[in-house]
Amino acid sequence: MKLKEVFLYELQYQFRSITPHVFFLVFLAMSYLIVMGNYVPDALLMEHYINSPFVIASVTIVTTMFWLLIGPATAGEAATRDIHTRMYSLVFTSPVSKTSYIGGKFLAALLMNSWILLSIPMGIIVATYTSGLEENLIGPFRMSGYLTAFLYVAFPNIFLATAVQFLFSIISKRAIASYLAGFALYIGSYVITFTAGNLAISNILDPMSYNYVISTVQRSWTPLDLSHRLISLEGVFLVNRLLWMGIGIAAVVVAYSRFKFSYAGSNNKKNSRLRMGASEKSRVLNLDLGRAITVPVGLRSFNFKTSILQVLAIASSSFWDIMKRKGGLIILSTVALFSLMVLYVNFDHQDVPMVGDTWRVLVDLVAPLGSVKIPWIFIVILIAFYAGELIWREREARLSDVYDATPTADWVLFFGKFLALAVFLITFCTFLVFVGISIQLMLGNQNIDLLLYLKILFGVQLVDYLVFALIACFIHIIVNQKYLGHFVVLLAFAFIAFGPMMGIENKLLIPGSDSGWSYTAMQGFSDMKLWALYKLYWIGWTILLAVISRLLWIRGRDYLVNKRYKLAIERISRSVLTPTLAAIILILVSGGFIFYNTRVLNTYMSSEELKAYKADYEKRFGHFRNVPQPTLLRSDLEVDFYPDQRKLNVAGTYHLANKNSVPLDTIHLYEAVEVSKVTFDRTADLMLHDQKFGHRIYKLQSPLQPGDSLSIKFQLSYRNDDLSGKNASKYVVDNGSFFRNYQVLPAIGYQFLMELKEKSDREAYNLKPKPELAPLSDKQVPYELLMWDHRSMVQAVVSTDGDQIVVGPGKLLDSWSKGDRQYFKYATDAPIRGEFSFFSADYKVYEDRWKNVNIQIYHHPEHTRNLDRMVAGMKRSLEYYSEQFGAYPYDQLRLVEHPGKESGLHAAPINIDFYEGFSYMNPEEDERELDFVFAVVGHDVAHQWWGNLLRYARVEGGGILSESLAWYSALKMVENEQGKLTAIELLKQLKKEYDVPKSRADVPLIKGNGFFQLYRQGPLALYTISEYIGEDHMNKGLQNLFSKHGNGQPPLATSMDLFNEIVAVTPDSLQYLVHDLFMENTFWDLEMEEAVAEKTETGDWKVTLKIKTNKEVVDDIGRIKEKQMDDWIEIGIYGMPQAAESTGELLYLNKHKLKSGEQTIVINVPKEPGNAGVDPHQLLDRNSYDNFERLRTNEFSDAGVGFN
Amino acid sequence: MKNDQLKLNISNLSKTYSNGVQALKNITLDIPGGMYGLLGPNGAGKSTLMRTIATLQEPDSGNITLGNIDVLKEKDKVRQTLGYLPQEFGVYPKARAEELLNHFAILKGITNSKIRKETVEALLKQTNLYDVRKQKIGGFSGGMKQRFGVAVALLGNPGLMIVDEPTAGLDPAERVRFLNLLSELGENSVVILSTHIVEDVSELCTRMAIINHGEILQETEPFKAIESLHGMVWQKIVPKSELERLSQEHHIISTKLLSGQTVVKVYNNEDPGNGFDLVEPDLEDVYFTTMSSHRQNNVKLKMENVRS
Repeated sequence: MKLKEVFLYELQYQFRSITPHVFFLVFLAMSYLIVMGNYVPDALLMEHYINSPFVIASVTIVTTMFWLLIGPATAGEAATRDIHTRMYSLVFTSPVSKTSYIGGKFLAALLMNSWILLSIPMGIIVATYTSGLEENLIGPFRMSGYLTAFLYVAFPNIFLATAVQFLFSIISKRAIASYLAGFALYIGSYVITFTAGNLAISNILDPMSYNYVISTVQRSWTPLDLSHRLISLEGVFLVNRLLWMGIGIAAVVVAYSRFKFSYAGSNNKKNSRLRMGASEKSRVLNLDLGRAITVPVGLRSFNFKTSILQVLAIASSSFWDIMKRKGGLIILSTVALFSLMVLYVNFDHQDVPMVGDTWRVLVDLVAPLGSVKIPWIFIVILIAFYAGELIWREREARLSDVYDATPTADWVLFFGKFLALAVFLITFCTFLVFVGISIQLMLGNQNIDLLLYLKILFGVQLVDYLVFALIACFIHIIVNQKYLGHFVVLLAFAFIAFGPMMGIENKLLIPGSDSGWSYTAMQGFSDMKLWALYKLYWIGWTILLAVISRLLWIRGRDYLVNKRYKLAIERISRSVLTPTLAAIILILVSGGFIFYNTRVLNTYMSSEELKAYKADYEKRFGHFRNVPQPTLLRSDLEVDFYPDQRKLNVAGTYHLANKNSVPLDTIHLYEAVEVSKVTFDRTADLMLHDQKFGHRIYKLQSPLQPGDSLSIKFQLSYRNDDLSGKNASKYVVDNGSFFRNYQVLPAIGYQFLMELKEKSDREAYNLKPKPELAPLSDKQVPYELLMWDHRSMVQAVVSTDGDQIVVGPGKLLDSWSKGDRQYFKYATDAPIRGEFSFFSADYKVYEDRWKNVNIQIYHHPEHTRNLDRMVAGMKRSLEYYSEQFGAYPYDQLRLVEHPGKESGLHAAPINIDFYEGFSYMNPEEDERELDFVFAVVGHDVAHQWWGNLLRYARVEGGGILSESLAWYSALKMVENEQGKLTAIELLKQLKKEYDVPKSRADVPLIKGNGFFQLYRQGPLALYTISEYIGEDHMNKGLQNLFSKHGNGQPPLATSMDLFNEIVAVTPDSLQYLVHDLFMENTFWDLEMEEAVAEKTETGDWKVTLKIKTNKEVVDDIGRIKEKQMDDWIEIGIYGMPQAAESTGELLYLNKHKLKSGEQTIVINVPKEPGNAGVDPHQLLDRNSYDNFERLRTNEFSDAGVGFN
Repeated sequence: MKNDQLKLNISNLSKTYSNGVQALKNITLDIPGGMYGLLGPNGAGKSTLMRTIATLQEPDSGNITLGNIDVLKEKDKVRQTLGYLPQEFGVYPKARAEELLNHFAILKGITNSKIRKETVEALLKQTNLYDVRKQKIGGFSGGMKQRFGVAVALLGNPGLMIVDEPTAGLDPAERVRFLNLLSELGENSVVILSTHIVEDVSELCTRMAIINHGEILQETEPFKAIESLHGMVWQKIVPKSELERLSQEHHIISTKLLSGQTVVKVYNNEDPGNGFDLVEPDLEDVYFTTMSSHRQNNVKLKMENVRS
């Protein structure tokens, strides 16, 4: 046979079997679903065309990754079919050369795989034209888009994967090894993305180029690119493709050299000798006929005990089959080690190491069913795979006839196999205990809570995955085609994972799901009751599925649907009916109870329902937006926490005044929580009470004249049900209750913040189009204040259970106990912008003082690690900010902890609250000269000025006044307190965001929005300006801003006010810089091309620098405009470095005026220079790698100097 | 259950596969205790019949009872007394003989671990696999694997033993040893042996049936069947060229090559002359006579159909 014949034969063979066609449909469906689920929403947001080359490439790579896990059968089959069908004796003895055989088989597998993945473009095309998108969201059909994605992204991956899978199968002589190969490539791709620090290197080493396509391209392309640009073979991508194609070819060559035309069992030599010996003995023994060997008679029993023994025997045999023969042990160990590595490397927050307490580590180890998080996504695939292997085990070994004729009950066979999967999962959870403990030990944490590991991994996590394992078995039994079965299992998983995103929010419809649970140090377990109810519900279902599985269990040779159905009917007996009935009762009772609690008692709203609700609210009450309302002056509150009963009672009085210039007679009252009683201090008629929206309209009998005041009394009671689910708001818990005023207390006026913001939503609900944020030029919005936006006084008497402490706004005036309750009286000593919270928990208080300000940290008793750092941050901040920007008007400043694994802080006036996770930051272990906790506290204290005292208007760029100024202030505070070097470390941390590839297209900073602009670009721009114009000038400008707008009175400040104040303190020569940083999206590219030093006769050194510069402005859709430079740029010259990493002593630092293009600058320095840098502190050129150059000395120009 | 009670009765059993092949046509058989031979060519429907008795396949119609057990309904009960050696089977390749046999012993309900150990050991000895009990079965020869299958079938002293083409692929010595094993079993249970090799039946079975195209052609005792052919089988050595002519004149039972010449056996009530010699009939003659007369009947029938 020639290569061509081997090739054609293999191709025909594969084409005739069902597997490749199943695969084709699988990947067609998958790419279709990815487009519909992921890219249609993006297209609706007008981010790019639904069928842009970028989308095609992304869908291609994502589907290809799935193919690695599901599709290796093709290559494995081609490589080993002749062996496992025992055709080898015919084939291997035929006159076919090794080259033809291997070449033909490999090429056939390659072509087959390419054909299978041609389903991707087809899936995309189908999705594009059935998506129902408007025509302007669909780009023109571009063949080149599909071709480039297939040829540059898919094909090299197919080639590499087929080659490696082929190689693995040839070496092991087993088709299943190809799955190991696919898994290895999949893992490899992930590991490299996670571990290689350098993006370029990881993009080269990633065998699949997954991260390049999915992340690097998306982030670095502009919106215009994302719609139009073709992916091209260039740079790291080209290197990557060449490298891995080469490795693919090498794999084929190795496969060729390892392949031999012989086969004698798996471990050949030993067995063939054995066979000879054995048969010879049998000949000898044949002479000894009639030899009596007594076999024990009878003593068989067929009762329940026997069945149990049989279940255990089958489970043990199946389990070891998975673990040893099917690679389970290796894969589980790999996954465990991989998880260990990934979790350990990522166990930080903002690059600050975390304290490895057991629960904090466990939070990272577990994931709900449906999560695609590492490691659990692998476990899902393994369950699908091994369920199939076990269900098919006897049939594939051709042992099923013997097996099925044994006196074992059908349920025994089924249950034995399921139990094996269960033990497999238990093994993995055990591995995870070791992973967690290892992480803890590696972090130097000896405080290991083994019981908590057992509770969470085995009590919670395992249950979810057992349910899934049973579903997988069930599907394999029903489908009765192995690969199709794998597919359906994964489809079921996709439904579990993505169903909620596709709008199925009722958890009772998502198999195995629940409403969530949590564990934190403060709160312990929460939401477990409802979790358990959900699990009972799903256990009911699994019993039902198990019964159906048992009825439809394949036993014997009848595979046809009607025969199976007939058999199933015959198998129905009392032993089937009892569990069925029990299961149905369990499902109905637990399901009904869940439904009643989550849907009937709690007014549960899906996200769609919520949108409709908001739209209706706007339609109904939107026209009241500008109706004048009285302003809140003071609230008198009585708040009673009942943690045991999850109850909260509030009674209060609002003292309001008409600050408008016109009389008003209509009061709108919005109930955040249903209010039971409202009384006015005068006659007011309830004109409307809309219970659905909690909106009341009162008409005053006599209008409230300008300047006149009014008081309203109200009462409300709130209770959160334990069974209302994790996502329902729960303000009262065992330990760590808290609520914010606007979440519970009624508000005056129309709540325009409820309005839908997203353009597509507003369109869908026929609302008037409106930008997400009002334009900066809007003159009306800065005057629009909601009730809580005004400053007001608060006075509150708060009570709670005897063992807890309450934190409230303002000063603690008094506290007393009455019965078994504790009472606390709080009052503000100056008006606060109206956001305040009440907390109740078993706190410890850490106290200190700065001048007249009482500093307190209310914390969980165990969380004491960072208290000193936090207090230091508060004190230094108070000192620096009040000196630089304006006085702090209150007598207290507090940090208050509340439950939650997150690490965020929230700065309300006086009381800054933080999640428990913040307590787990461990700056002590930070290798940098940086106390990040100190800095973050500094940031949040700065919010007392920027955000609380100075309130910004709800227009574009508003966040700059809050977040950017707060980070700028913290930077300066750190610089003043801890020195320039620490400030530089902090700057570096903030700049890291610039290393993440992203599109340069954006709005100018003055209209800035979103995390990157507010938290990174803004603070850095402000810092740069202060470096240019000087800290004193800069802070003078900010002081002016604060003194003009820090009173909280409308019009509220905008980023234009900030800009104007900075402009006012900036010399004319630097006005361009403020403009470049704020008014345009400017990019500097500064390069030190050459640096030469020469010793002069006077003994100092003459340094000649060749510098290349460029300045560009990029607009929000990616259009680039070059700008002529005439800019002041810092140039620094440093001495010979002493240590390998240091830059050396600073010899010279000054600003020079540089023009666009190349230029030469000559500088004299007193000592021998080592390095020269342009913009050495990266004040302008943010992500630069070519700013520095080693100095070349003319005298020694021939020696090995001048390395770059 | 006593031996004389244990009888297998098959009545009106029919089975047609979804591809249209009619594997069993209204088969009725009474199978008493002892060794029972089911003789027929490949594709005659033997394996279908065996699998149906072994609870692995549903017939379209008909009944099977084993003693007072309804085989088609009370599968569990049948399996408790069943030993089944299918025509073709595999094993878990990495499993060791002793370990896998022990596994089957549990599946067959031998719960007492001591007895199970003894049973496994005895059966391994009986099937002469004791020396290789620690070896992986994946490396066994065809005969060794077959013997392992017998050991599995023998587990738990089955009252009904079904062995489907057990000697195919065995070398002569292995075959002898295997048949010995079976004959011991036949002493106290129903043993159905399906085969296409006449010697298997003639050496072992007290009763037999010949099956072809899903039909029972003859149900008899081998001894009696041979007796009935006494004086009716004639043999002659002829050149190959004469075969065609002879087949038109005589009812040929079989032709065989012997040292390059053709030995023809014909069926005739009286001496056909022409140099034919009377020979002692054997079971092979019975088999071929039955097969060929059935074929002729069929031909006749078809011709009649054409005429009418």
